[in-house]
Amino acid sequence: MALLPVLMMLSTPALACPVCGGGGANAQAYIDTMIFLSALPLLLLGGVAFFFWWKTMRVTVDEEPSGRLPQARPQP
Amino acid sequence: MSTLRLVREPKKSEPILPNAVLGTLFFIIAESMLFAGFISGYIVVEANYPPGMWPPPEQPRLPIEVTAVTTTMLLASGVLLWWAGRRFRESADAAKSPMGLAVLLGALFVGVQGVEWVQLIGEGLTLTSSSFGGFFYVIVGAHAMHAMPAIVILLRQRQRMLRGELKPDAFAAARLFWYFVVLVWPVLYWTVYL
Repeated sequence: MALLPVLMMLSTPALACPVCGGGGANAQAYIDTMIFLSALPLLLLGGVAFFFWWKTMRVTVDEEPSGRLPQARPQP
Repeated sequence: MSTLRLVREPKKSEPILPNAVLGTLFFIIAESMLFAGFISGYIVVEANYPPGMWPPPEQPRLPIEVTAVTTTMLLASGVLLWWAGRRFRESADAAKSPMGLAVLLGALFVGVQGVEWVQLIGEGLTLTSSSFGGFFYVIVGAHAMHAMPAIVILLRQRQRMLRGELKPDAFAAARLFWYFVVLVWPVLYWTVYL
């Protein structure tokens, strides 16, 4: 929590670039695309990870409904 | 006294995703970031211009209507390849026609894009004529650089399909890459052309 004010202040030097920190629509576009570029890889890799988790769970449930070894049947 | 131990035999499990598909998936993620970077750069530079001044007034206008038609062709190509993939599960013969048509539509898309480029260069839109020209050729060119190898791969796979040598994993990987080429284009069209 103590780092939060420091992290918030870091965005101000980042906007010091004459292209990105010009203010108005340009700065807004810079911030929007920065969020987009930061979130996209997390979403893509997270999507793949979720797919693997979901598929693994499905395969596990299909193969072993009880998760136990099969019981020996009584011989007639 | 002997004891009976139940030992679970290891099952031969198939991988969740074939290696070819998994590799293509990670390649697509990397390429998505490439296009995301291009689009972000384009949006930031576009925002630098006053409203109505982008594309710059002295630069030629992009052929929005013709490209809308080619976009439809590309989307149809994606649907046809998806259909070819479904029919490939039944038999290779059943997938030949939709796959051939999908490749043909993809090649037509790239061909029309080439003609469009020649016209735009003739009208004065070049890589160095403006920021808009630079972004246009880099973004659309990067897409074409993905579409062309994909078409070549699909053509080679169709030949293998005709010979009965096409492996399902390889076909699935190529299809996945083509879906990426198809689905990223409407985003580029909406960003650059509209």
